[in-house]
Amino acid sequence: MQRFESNDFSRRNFLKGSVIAAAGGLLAACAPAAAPAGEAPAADEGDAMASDRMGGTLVFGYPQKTSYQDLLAMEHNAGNRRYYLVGLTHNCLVNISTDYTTWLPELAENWEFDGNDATFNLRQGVKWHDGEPFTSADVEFTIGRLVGHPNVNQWNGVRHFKGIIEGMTEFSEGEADAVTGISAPDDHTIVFHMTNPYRAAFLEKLLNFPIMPKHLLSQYPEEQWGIDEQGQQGLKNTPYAKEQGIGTGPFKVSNYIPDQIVEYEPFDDYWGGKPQLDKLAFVPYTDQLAMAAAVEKGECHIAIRTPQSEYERFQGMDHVDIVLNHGPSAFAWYHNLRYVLNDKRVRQGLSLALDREQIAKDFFFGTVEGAKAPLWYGDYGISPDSAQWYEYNPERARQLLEEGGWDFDYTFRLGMSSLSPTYEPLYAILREMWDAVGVKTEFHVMAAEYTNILNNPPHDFDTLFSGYGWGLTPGGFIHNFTDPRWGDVDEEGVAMVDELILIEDPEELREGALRLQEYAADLQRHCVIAQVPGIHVVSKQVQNGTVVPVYGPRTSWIDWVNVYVSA
Amino acid sequence: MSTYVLRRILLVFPLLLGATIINYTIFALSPGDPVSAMIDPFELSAMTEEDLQEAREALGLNRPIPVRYLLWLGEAIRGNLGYSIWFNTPVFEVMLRALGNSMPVMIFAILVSTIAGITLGIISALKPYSFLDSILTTFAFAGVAVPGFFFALLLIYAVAIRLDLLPTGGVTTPGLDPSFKDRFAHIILPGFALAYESTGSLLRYTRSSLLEVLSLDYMTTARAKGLVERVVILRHGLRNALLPIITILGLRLPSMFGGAVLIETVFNYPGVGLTLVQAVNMRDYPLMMGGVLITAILVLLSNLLADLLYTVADPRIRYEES
Repeated sequence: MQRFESNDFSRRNFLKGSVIAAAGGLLAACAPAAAPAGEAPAADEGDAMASDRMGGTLVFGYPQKTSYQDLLAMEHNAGNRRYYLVGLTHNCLVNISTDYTTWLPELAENWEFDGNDATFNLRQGVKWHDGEPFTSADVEFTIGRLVGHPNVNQWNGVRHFKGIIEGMTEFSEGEADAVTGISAPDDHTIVFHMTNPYRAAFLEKLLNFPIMPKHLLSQYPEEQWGIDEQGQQGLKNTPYAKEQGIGTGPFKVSNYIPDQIVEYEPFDDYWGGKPQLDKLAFVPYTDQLAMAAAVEKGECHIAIRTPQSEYERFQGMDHVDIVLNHGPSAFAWYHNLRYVLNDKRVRQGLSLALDREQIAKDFFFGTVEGAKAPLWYGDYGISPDSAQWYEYNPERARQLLEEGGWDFDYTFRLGMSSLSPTYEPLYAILREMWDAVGVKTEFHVMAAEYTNILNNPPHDFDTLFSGYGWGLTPGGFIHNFTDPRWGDVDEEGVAMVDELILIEDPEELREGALRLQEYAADLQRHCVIAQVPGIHVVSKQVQNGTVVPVYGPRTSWIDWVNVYVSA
Repeated sequence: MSTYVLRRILLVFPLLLGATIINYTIFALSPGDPVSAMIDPFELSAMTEEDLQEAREALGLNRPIPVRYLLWLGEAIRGNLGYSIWFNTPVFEVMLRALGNSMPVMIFAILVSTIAGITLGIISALKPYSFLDSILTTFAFAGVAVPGFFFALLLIYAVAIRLDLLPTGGVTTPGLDPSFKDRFAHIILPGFALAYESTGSLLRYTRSSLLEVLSLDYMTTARAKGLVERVVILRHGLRNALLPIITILGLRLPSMFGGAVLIETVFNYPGVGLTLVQAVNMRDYPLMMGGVLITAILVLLSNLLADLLYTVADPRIRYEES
């Protein structure tokens, strides 16, 4: 015993030390992190969540991690956070109305087309979040340098302008030092010289590109924009991408902890007026049920893409409104025309075998509509002739399959990335409907090899389940006819699109779009099922913010300037 | 003693080496790569095979697995765990941030489960086969049988939503200034959810171990010496019953990391578990390896700590060289 007590490493000292260390560790770990340098002193806790006056903190929940993206605002992929929030920090030259019918001015006050030229008169008095003035040099830099630069990620950007803006293809392929088709006659005018007299199709392209600050991004040498020795895109590894996210939008980034929170504060000098909110917090949720719980408790004011399974639960809550998705995207089967689906009648038969209204009711809980045409949003309506291919008619389906020479002993191979439990019932319904007309089916799940398999034909599936985008103008429809992985380019479809995107007369354009729908519906390269569902929940504390969520390219779907959170 | 500790610390290195080799090989042989995980299916039509190959080459994924492992190991030894492909940030930074979130919950869970488990185990052992013992035994079995995430959902529903006492999840309340009170409020529910299972098993181990000791001759001797019952139980009984309990405690940290994967998901708590799950989903090899290395170090250290605790609990155990 004596031996123990005389030892420095005594039991008592050890236990004491352990308890102190554990308590100290807990205290230290729970201690608040130091506020970032330059951060404004904060308000009292009681003021933070809500107050009687206009303002408050709006908490915006989204089921996706922020590490998927950064603050660079360059990548504008469907489905990511920026798809919904890009309008918070950045602006594009133009925007489009929530019903996709009217082009709206944003950083460009107005624009005019003259032959192959498009002239945009820029808004004056616009400032970046750091106080620097916004000028045409920023637009020239963003579209003329950043988007098409050979060192910048080519997956997303430049393809939109290749062949559209003069010299963009040559610049992006490293054959020219600059894009010849962009000029800035003065600080508030930018002119695009295009290869053809594009109109709405060009405006649609501009929706994909928030304008970036030249004075900040040009300080990073262009040779460092590309992949660095760590395998990272250099531009994403800059303080701009990781901390600043400076734009011209109504809110500026005040705190960003990846995968935890992005906090924004109102930009006093926003050209559209200072926002009412005191603060806006974007919170990513890995688990949609965790987001649903936060909504139920009132911790989250706007939750987007909540799970379908919780739809009825939200309907029973008094303190929230439910807003359903609208937008130009859907679930569809991408038919592989290289194998058993090369006869159009077979594809038509498969389409008519599906009861889309039943699917919308049973699987999507009535939150979406069944597909009625391959292109059906915005200014173009739905062609009655194309809609007939989306009606449920199993007898006609069987007849078409027989006429098309379908081998009823063959097992139709359904390709998909994964068999997620969420969508398993949908797959089961689809299989049942095809089974009813005599088409046997089996799954081919690609899992992590999804992209590799898709890009390396021949494929071991006949049709692929995927998201499907229409585009806002007929120009956005062209990829439906040109993807070489699923079959030869459909020259007739391409010719129709090429003709349509140059039409100026709105009535003529609409009629052309309906003809295109009809053609695409008859062709059935894609078997469209229903809109991508989106059940968004908005707290009744959210005031003045007309929330129109969309799953498509718009720079904002909420009135960020006037929205506030009431007590 | 110091020789033993030194030897144990040195033993950590080959163990770590083995762990990294096994993990690296498993990760590298699993299907998929970061490039395919990065691409939005909507963007597929714009990609060519050349684009994919270029991206793989840029990330060094075209080299043989042993070469990639040795390169990683060489850098890791120099303290560079590399860059997370997905987070675009040094792995060490990502893991530090995740650990900074997870450690308070784990420390809280270990404190709660240790204090509650041992205390309730003692009570249960002192009143064996009583009504109270039955209730505690039911509680312990429920802790072992009920999945942690289910208990977590119950806590969210009852404590956060119905009683409105604590937040449903997250690390802090958005919009509030950082404060100890707010941070602590966010670790209570995930902490209890993590502690629940451990508490049950500790209770049972303490009970059975103490019951065994209580019937031994030296306990009778202690009482015969006239020692008060508290001293008999705590100093003579519990101390001798502690050895198996320390073993269980030493295994707590690894199981906490495992449990954290689900608990952190349910509470939307961006800690180590969630980060590693994301790293696996996104085939982020540097992050996976860095995460495995750091958690392996922590687990080995916790085992070392358990070994040291044996000497505290039982003076007969010496680690001196013969």
